Amino acid sequence: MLCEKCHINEANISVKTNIHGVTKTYQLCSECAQKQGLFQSGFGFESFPMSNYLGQALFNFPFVTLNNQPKTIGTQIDKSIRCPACGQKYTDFRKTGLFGCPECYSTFHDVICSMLDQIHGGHIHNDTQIVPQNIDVEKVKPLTEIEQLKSELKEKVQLEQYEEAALIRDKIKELTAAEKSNPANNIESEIESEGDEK
Amino acid sequence: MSWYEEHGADQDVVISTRVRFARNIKGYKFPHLLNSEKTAELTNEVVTAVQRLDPKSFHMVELNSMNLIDKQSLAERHLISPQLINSKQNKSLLINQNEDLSVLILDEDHLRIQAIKAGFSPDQAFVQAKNLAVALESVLEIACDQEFGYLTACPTNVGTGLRISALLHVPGLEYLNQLKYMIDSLRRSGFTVRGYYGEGSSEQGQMLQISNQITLGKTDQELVNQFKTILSVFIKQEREARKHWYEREQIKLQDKIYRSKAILSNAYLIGHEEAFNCLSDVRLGRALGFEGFPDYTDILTLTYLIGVGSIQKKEGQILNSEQRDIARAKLIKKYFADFINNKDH
Ligand SMILES: [Zn+2]
Ligand SMILES: [Zn+2]
Repeated sequence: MLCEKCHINEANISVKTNIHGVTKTYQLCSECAQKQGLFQSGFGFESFPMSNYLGQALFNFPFVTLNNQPKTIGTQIDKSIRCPACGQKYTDFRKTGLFGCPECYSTFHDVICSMLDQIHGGHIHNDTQIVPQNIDVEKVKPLTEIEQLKSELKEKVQLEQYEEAALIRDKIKELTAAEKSNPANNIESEIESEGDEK
Repeated sequence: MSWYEEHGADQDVVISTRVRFARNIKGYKFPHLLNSEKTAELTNEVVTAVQRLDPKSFHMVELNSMNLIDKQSLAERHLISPQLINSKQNKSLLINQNEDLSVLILDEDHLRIQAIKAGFSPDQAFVQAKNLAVALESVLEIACDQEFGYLTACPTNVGTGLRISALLHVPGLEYLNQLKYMIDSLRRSGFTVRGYYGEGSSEQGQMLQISNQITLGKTDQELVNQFKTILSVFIKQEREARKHWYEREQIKLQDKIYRSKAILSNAYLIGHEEAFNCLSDVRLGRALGFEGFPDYTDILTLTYLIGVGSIQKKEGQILNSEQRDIARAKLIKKYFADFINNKDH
C-alpha cells in the first residue's frame, strides 16, 4: 500500500502509537517516518525541548512494538531426555546457554517454546519474504564504466538517437579492447588482494 | 580501499553500521561440540561453497595459523570478537578486499555473515549481508525450522539470525547527562546497548554500540526498519545536545577540543585510552565544523591503526607497553603534521 503521509512512496514501516490508551496504526514510507512522524505530537512522540535536558527520563520510543504472540504455559521437561542427534541433555544447555545441534530444537520443543516467549515475546518465526522496498539494489553495487556505457547505449537506442549510440558503442569497444590487452590490469588486482593485509 | 576510508551518511554521529546473519548447517553439531575432524570438514564445505559462489572476492585466513598481534588487529577492526583471540578451536574468516563483507566460520554459530559500512548505512549493510546469506543458502544445507526459523546455538539469535548494530559517538548526550535515560529507554524497547568493543566492554571515548535484541517474530526487514527509526531519533538528539552544549559553553568546549588536538599533535608518549579519548574530542571538533580538523574517515583509520594489536602489526614486531606508546605517539603526530602540510599546499 501507499504511504499514508505522502501517498507517493510505498509504505514499508508500520507505526503503532499509543496515545492516552488509544492505539492507532499507520503505514508510512521510511522517508516520511524519519522526516515527519518522529517529532510530531500527532504521532505520540513528545519532542525534546531544551528545558527538559535537565529533567529526567523523557525518552520513549513509541515506534517500537515488541512481539506479543500467545504464550506457552506450563511446560515441563523430562530431565533424562537426550537429543538423539548430539547426545546433549537439557541440563547441558542450562550450563552453557547453548544447544548442541539444530535437532535439539525438536528434542526440547516445548520448553524451547516457552523460553523463546520470554526472550523474544513469542516463538513463531515470521517468514514473510519481503522484498526490501526501500533499497535500491543497483546502487549498492557500483557499475563499471563499461556497464554504465552499455545502459546508456540501450537508452539511446530506445530514444532512436543512433548517432550518439554509435559513439557510445565505439567507446565500449575501445574500453573492452584496452582491458583485454593490458596485462597490468590483472597484475595490479593480484597485488592488491595480496597486499590488503597491510 | 577499505570500507572505513569511505564516507557514509550521518558520520558526525554514527561511526559504523554492521549487519550480521547467524546461520548453521544441517547435520553438524554446533561449534562448541565439534571435534577437530568435523571442524575441518565443515570449514572445507563452507569454503568450497563460497568459492563456488564467488571465487575471486574472498580470501581466507585461519585464526589458528595467525599470531596474536594479527588476531588482535582483526578484533580491533571488529572483524572477530575479542573472545575469539584465545580460542583453541580453529576458526576461519573469509573476507573480501575492502573488508566490508566477511563470513566467520565456527564462531558461536557455524556461519556469521557480516557486512560493515561507514556511517549510518543500515540498508546497504543489510542488502549486502542478506544477498550473501541467501546465496549461501542455495549452496549449503542451512538449518531452518518452519516454526522457529533459522536455528542457532543460542536461543537469543533464533528466527531471523539478524543482528544489526551501529557504533555511535555521543559526547553531547553524555555531557547533558542524558545517556543513562536514553540507554534505559532503549533497553526497555528491546535494544541492547554496549561499549566500543561489544560484550562486557565499558563505554569508552563516548562510544556506544546499539543493536537489536529480538531476532524472532518479525522479519529481518522489519527489524532493520525499526532499528533505523530508533537510530534516527538518537542521531537527532545527539545533534541537538551538541548544539546546546556549544551554545552554553562555547569557550570551554573549544578549549577541550583544541587541547586534545594539541596532545595528539605533540605527544611523545600516548597510551591507547588517552589517544582514543582525544580522537573522540577531535571527532567532535570536526562535527562542529572547527577549522583545520581531519575528516571522519581519517579519524576512523587512525583509531584502527593505534590499537594495541594494530600498532605492533604496523611496526612489525612485538612491543612492550612503553614502546607501543612511543610508536603510537609518533604515528599520530606524523599524521597530524602531514595533515597540516597537505592543507597548506
Ligand atoms: Zn511517505
Ligand atoms: Zn541436539
